Amino acid sequence: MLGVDETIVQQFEEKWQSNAGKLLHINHREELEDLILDLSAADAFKEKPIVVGGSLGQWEWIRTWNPEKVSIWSPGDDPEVFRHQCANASLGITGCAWAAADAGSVCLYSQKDSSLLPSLLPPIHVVLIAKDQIVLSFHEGMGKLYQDAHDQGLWPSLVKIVAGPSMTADIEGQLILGVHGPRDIYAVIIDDSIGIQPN
Amino acid sequence: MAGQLPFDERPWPERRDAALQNQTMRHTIGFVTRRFTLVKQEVYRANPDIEASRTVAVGQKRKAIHDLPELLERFRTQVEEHGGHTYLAARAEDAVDIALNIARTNQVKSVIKSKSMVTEEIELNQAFGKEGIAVRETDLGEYIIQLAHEKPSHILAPAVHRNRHQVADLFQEDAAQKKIAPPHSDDIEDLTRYARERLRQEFLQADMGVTGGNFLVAETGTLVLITNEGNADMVTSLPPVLVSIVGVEKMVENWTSLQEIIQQPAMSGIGRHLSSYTTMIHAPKSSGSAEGPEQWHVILVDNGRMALRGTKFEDVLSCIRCGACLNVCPVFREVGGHAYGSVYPGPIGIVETPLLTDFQILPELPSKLCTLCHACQEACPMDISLPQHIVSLRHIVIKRHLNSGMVGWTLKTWARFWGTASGYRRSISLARVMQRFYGKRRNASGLIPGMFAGWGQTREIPQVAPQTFHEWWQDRNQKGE
Repeated sequence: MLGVDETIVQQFEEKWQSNAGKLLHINHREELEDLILDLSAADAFKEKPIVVGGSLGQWEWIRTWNPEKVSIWSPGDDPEVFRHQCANASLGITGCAWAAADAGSVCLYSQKDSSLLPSLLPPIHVVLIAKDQIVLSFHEGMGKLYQDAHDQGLWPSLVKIVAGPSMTADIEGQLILGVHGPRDIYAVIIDDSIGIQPN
Repeated sequence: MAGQLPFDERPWPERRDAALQNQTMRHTIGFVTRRFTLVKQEVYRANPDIEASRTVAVGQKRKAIHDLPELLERFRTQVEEHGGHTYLAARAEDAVDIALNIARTNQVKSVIKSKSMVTEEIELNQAFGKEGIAVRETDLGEYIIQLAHEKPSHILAPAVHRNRHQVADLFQEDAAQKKIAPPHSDDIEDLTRYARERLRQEFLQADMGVTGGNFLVAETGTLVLITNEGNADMVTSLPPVLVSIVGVEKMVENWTSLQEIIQQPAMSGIGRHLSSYTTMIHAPKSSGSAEGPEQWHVILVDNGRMALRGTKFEDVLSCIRCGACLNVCPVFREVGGHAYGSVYPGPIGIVETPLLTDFQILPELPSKLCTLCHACQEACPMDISLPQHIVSLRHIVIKRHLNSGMVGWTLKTWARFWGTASGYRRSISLARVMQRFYGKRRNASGLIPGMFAGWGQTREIPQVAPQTFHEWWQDRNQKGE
């Protein structure tokens, strides 16, 4: 994790929390496993309470970790089935393409190997962020999105930027979380990527 | 070509009185608009770099409006290259016809919709309703007013005129009709929970989604949507057919322009760096993907907008619908959105409504609903010259004789008297005579002619003095001689 500017990480954390997002640091794979089980514990009786958006990078191990509890999107899967699983899940997990410190936001791409539905339909969304994915400004992140699309010669058909839980102040101006999207959104910042890798 | 906008046919005094008597609305609208204004000031103070972005964004947006025909072509080419379909609708009814055709072709029975002012403008829901297609508004505020058969009272907070008890009644009624469990209580949390459960099923079953759009990017063919609730994400990722209906003026030239402007709606509207969700649509679903529409149609709506290019009012096309001008307007804070009688309320509404329709509807707005305090000018992140436009529109109203006969007569009479010193003196002597004629009433309301009569109903008009200063001065000099 050389070259990661800790002040940027810190700024992201402060801004994310001021946007009503929740924050956790993970050092080891076991901590993430515990967290996922804790957050989905209330619905432990459900069949596959956890849905994962795919394209996991260094968190690929989640795929084989707990097949009874977890459904993961893979290219070629039946979208109807996955949508149904997401609609019934209690916890959705995704990675992200980048996060912006000044806006406290994360950016997710919808591509063949990654789905946005786990970030939308379940009441809790966990987004996994490696420290080196955090850029200083939203402006810079948008530049990265443009660059990524050019490098790959392909734009993601949908791009979603999340800066806090789903919220509304439509009744009497009172702020309520979790209208249509998730009520709780956890940014999990991976402190030590080596510890996460399966050995 | 002039556009068409729906409007409230009640005359202004009726709309005004209804608004002033609605204490719930006035209380909430006062609270919400003041809070939005405060948080906006705070976020700009804390982030000086955003001001630099804003200035750049204004310049680029003006240029985009100038180059609009060319940018529209570029945008359409891009979207169609990615597999989307685009349409240019000259008038409101054309946009509705195009959307209806898409629905018919796909045998659509149910539609879910995220918040869009332009679909209010073209009265899309009514047209779909007549065709027997159910349209469900999914923004919580829009859903509430849809149940109440009302129009939005604020462009960001459409149901701000209703309190929790009134919302609970609507939801109870809805639950009884649908034979589902009603909200647990009239606690706002419970009401929101009810709407979440109720609308979730409609999201998952709908045949077609309809969105508006906050920005269109000509270079990349991207449509940007901004929401806080996440409903636009549902609409863009779940139904198989997506129709985006967007005003042509939402165009920016390229990605760099989008980078400068994309945070302005949230910054100026709700005082945050970003709303909770910013969604960008680039293409329909590619095969093998988990979500997104199989068909994506973009209807670009003119409806009176293109005709404003090249006029002195061109800058109104830069509006990003952030609501900042509504929030600071002392008139809006008192009467709320419904009193304007237009889809677009507040300072931008009183400018846009007559301009888009070439004064065919509500020509009284610039004269009746503005005090020329200039607060909107200061608040507008896109530097639109709202007060100057309001004055110009007043000139046009006079020149085109769009005022009622009574207003014209009163102003002319007033000008005849007070245009000269002798006329002024004559008017004072006349007022003194009238005052004697009406007796020794404290309140001189009976003296006030024509359109000014309303003043006397709410104010105590002082009595005309027995002697003016000029008369006293003359007397004193004569006595002194």
